[in-house]
Amino acid sequence: MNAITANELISGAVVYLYENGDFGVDLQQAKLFGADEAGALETALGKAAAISRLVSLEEIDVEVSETGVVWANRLREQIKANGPTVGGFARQSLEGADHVSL
Amino acid sequence: MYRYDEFDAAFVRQRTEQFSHQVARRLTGELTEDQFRPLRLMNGLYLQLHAYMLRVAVPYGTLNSTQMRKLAHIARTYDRGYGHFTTRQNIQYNWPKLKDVPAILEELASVEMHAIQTSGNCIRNVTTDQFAGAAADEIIDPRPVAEIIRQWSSLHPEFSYLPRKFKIAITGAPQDRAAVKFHDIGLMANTNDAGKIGWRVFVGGGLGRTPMVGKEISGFVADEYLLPYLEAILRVYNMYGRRDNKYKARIKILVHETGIETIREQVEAEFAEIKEGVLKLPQGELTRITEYFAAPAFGAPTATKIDVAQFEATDSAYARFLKRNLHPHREAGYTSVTISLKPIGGVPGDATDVQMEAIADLAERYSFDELRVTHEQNLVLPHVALEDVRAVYDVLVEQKLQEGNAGLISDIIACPGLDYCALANARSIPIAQAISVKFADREEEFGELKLKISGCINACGHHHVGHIGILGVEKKGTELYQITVGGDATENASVGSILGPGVTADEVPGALEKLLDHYMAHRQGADESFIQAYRRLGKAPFKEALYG
Repeated sequence: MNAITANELISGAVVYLYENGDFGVDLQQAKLFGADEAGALETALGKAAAISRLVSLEEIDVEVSETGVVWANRLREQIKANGPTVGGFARQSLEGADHVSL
Repeated sequence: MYRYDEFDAAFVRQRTEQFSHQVARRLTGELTEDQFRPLRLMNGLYLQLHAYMLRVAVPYGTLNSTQMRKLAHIARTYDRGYGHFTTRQNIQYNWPKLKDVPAILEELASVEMHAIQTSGNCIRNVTTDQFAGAAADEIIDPRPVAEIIRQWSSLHPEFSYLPRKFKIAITGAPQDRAAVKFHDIGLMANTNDAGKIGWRVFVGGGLGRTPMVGKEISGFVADEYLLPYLEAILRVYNMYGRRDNKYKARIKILVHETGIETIREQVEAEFAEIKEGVLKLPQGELTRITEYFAAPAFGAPTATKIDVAQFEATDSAYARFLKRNLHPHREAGYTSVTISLKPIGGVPGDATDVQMEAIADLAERYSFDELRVTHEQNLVLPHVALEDVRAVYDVLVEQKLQEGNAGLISDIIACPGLDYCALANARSIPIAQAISVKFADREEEFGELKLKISGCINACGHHHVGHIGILGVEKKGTELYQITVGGDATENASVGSILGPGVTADEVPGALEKLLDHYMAHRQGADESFIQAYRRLGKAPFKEALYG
């Protein structure tokens, strides 16, 4: 499965496309695209590419566990979703909200 | 220390204002990211995994206490209360927000600092020996020439769009502590037959995916001709360096493919055209700049040596600090103190805002207001009276910066790796932490050992020149770590050899233990360092020790 991720312009925070069309910081709320939804994924990427507040837009591979937890497949994306594995730092927050209405 | 003149102040102020407007235009959507990206990179602003990263230049690693306090203030006000000191003798902030960057740059400009040319295909921050102007073995203080190179290279219109980035390092001592042979241009002080001091020039060194030891292009260039000579090298590189492939665009590839003899001929031809031109340095100008770096007014110290032995039994941690973290000073009764940013199990190169302020206080009180950033990601108080060392140490203990491990295995260079960096394939920091903890009780018996870790082949952690180097790679979704042995960044420059297949993160400390046990079992006494033993024994027995 795939999700769509980017960095938000002002904060640089990692965000994901949600089901409602907003972008927010929680991978668990990400809109997931199945293998048979390549067209929808392409369309969503195209729409997102036009949004000025998104930087480094990309699709990522994810899986959903038996308990419904969404996991990014690559370690790089897991670290982006959870923050650095050292130092105890929380992820970057968005300015004044946990999502970006676009 | 050098102080900005009107030109310096004006260009930094204008650039700050210019970038503030560019940020505003980006935030309103007037500039696209494609348009904005090269502009932010020219001002040291990257976008990493979690946030923006701002890289601030520390020219040739020299700071005063006012500047260090400002860096602490920025860390506390605009970031998360810490900064990361780098192998370029710079500082990076990992969490600034784009909207705050103009304010940060204004704060920096107020203390004569900026982030210009810390990214992009231009001449980057000149680096040098952290003990410059203080070291007992120094032929000449390289900072005046480093400052002149800074002025020449800043916003140089001809060299703002080079084929690739370009790094210059300079050392005034025969013992190379600035890794000059692994820079695009390396300069080493040299004395000619007439007794005049000038510069040996090396070209085409570098790390990354194609590590190369720089080749000598000139055995002696006098001060007055140094800028025309550097200009000639840059012109040849700018003209012939490859722009079709970024992986082959550094000058090291040009030198390797063309041959040093041909490059030398081209440079000499260019040099002959310009050597008597506007870049020829008048002695008066060199003298003027040198006066900024005049030695402090050293007093008459009461102590001329510290008896380390007296502390061995009563305060072993302090004794260890004295043995490892003091460097011989040219002035009797003084020493240079290395402040290790490598606490056991810590993040190499990180310092909190509170620590930075405490270090600024120490510099002001005990080191004639001078501080240095080392390319090994530590800080230095260059001029401390021996009688003040204990007072300095006591403050470092309060700040948890007292580790006496300079040059030992836990004094690790490590890049930010996959915890922060958008280019990395594997994590570096947790590996460094695990190694640091694993060998904390044995590192003194190992003696001098340079360990360097990179999270990808770009080699920001200098793994190629570690006595032991570790390179993180990703294979089928798993982090693996290749181990190299035999690298050396000093005047005896060498590139390490890969021992064999990579090991997992969990296996790294154990793998190193095998190498170190082999070294301990086969060294010819405590005076034979790891790198010396490796050179005598060769690669095969270390490979055997690791893989069986």
